[in-house]
Amino acid sequence: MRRWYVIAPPYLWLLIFFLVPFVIVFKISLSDIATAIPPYIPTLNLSAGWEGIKDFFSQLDFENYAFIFSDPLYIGAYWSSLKIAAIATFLTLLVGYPIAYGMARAPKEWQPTLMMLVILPFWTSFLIRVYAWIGILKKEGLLNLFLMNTGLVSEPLNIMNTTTAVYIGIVYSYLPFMILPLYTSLEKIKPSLIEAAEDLGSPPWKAFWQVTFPLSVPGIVAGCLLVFIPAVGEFVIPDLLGGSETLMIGKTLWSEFFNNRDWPVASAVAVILLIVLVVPIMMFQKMQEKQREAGL
Amino acid sequence: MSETVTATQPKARLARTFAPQSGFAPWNDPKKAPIVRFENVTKRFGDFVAVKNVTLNIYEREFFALLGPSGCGKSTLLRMLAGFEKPTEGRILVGGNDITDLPPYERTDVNMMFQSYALFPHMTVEKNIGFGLRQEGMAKADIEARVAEAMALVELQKFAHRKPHQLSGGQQQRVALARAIAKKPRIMLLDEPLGALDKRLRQSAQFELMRIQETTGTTFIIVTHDQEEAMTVASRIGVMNHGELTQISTPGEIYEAPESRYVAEFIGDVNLFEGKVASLSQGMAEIDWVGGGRFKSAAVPAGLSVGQQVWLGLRPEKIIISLHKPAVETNVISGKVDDVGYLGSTSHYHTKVATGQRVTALRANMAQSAEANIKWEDDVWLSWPADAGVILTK
Repeated sequence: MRRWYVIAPPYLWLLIFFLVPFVIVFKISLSDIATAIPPYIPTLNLSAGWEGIKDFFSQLDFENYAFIFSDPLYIGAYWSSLKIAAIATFLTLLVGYPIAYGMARAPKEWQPTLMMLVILPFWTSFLIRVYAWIGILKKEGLLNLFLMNTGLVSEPLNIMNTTTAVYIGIVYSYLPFMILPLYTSLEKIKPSLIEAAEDLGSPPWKAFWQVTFPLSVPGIVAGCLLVFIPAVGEFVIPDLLGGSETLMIGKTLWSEFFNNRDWPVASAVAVILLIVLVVPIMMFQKMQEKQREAGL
Repeated sequence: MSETVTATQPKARLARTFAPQSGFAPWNDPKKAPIVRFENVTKRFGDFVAVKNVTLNIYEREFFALLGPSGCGKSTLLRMLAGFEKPTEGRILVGGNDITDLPPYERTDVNMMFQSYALFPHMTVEKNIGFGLRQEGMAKADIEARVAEAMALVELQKFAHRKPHQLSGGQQQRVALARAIAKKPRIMLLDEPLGALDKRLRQSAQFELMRIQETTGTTFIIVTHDQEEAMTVASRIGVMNHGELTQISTPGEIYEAPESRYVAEFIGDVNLFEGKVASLSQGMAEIDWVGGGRFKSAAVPAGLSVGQQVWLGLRPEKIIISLHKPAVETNVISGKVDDVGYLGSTSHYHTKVATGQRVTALRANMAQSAEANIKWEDDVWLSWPADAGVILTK
């Protein structure tokens, strides 16, 4: 009985703020668009009693899902979101790994400061930081100004409103989520392991691939999932930095809701997105469990 | 009867003290070339001098122990030989070749067993042991054979497919040993190899190490802060203090003939009597003790001069404690029993003497009679033969 009190708050929290909204969204995704408030039918009419409930359920169907799967626009948006998120995640890993490695190898007394520097951008609004990139990437922006003045390019680069800008935005915004788990796993690797590898005849670069890298795999997986999962549904970055050619499901979702005011289709898009992401989320949890068991 | 006892005793002691246990003493053979040579090696970390001008020769098949308290520089010395630290000054030779500037992965003659074992957690026992061989690009079948051989040597065959975290501390220690030995180095370095084991396991592991050292014929260099461990395993011990090698001798010499108060106190228990040299004649020195009285000592270090300040070092087991004044004229002082430590086979008697210092005498508990019983607050006599002590000048 006592245990129940302890686990009740988190379960209650999840019930109220996750399960109930999800059920509502799921219900809307099974409804039909209508010119009404709210903009869908049916709505539950409890005053009609049992008949009303039966009537309500009889009007729910999977039409919207069928519609989404029949329209290449949506499939394309999902596919391109996954692709952009995957490439961006890989780029974040390429940028984040050396940083995390450097942090883990830095003198012990420096490490808290370096960690602080990684977390510091969170103190500014995400939106403002993405806006700032417009100022950097646009045609007459800081980057082009620098490149033109140093003579590296003769014509301003066209980065703004391209998928490249989206990659830059995602790598920049999600870098701390990559660095922190990587740092945690790299920092745990005892320097004596590398020394042992070198002592046994392995030059430093080989020791990295044989010892450091495999031991940092849990950090790589955790970091990649922490970047990949939110990146798939990212809306702000493609909306502000991407152009019309950047097709991402977050943007599709937004325009369904606010431009087309088609809540049922928008809800179905959201539910499918959730199902698509459940797979990597479960992978992430499974891996964490395994790690805990191995005592790593 | 008593005459024969006094006549044979010192001889027996001398024989035990100075003859090496097995006749193995390459360090006394000037024609023998050392396998490892530290030549005026100094290592500084910033202002801190970790190793101060160390010159040391270690010979093939030796089991050499570097002994000292933590921070004395013994691990740094070992790490320089492995290649993890570069000497600030001096050079290191292995088999006559200067290896000072070689990185660790090119020092094929040397392999190290790490204090924390440093086993690769993502590899099985088998893969751990084969790691070094895979780096050499050895054929797969040869690797398997060598790994099997190494696992058999440390009796680990049953655990070949386990990961390190599934092994006990003692098993991990043996994997670490097997991994280094599988490379068949000429020189094995062991950094506090048994430090993480409990006392009983440590003792059996010491004999295990000695067995492996003998069967493989490898030169072992061990770093330890445990003097008993060094005494047990080593053919020679190098005692270190504040980055300096203060004495390099066999365990017997270190114990019976320490060259300084530091060494005498670090290895075993010792009673030190401060005094001045009163006379020197025929290999016998007389010392005026600060507590009053004149001691005779037969062990006279070279270069001793009359009037010099010295300390007479006496091991507790060499002091005879009695309730009645013994019938000798020299080397006898009176004291009062302060504390008795009964250890079963032996008893320690801590007595207060004229200077107020505590002198410890050790006696084997051979008799059960009440007469032999020395109690707290008893007035006792402490005596020792002239050849029992050593004169220490520093």
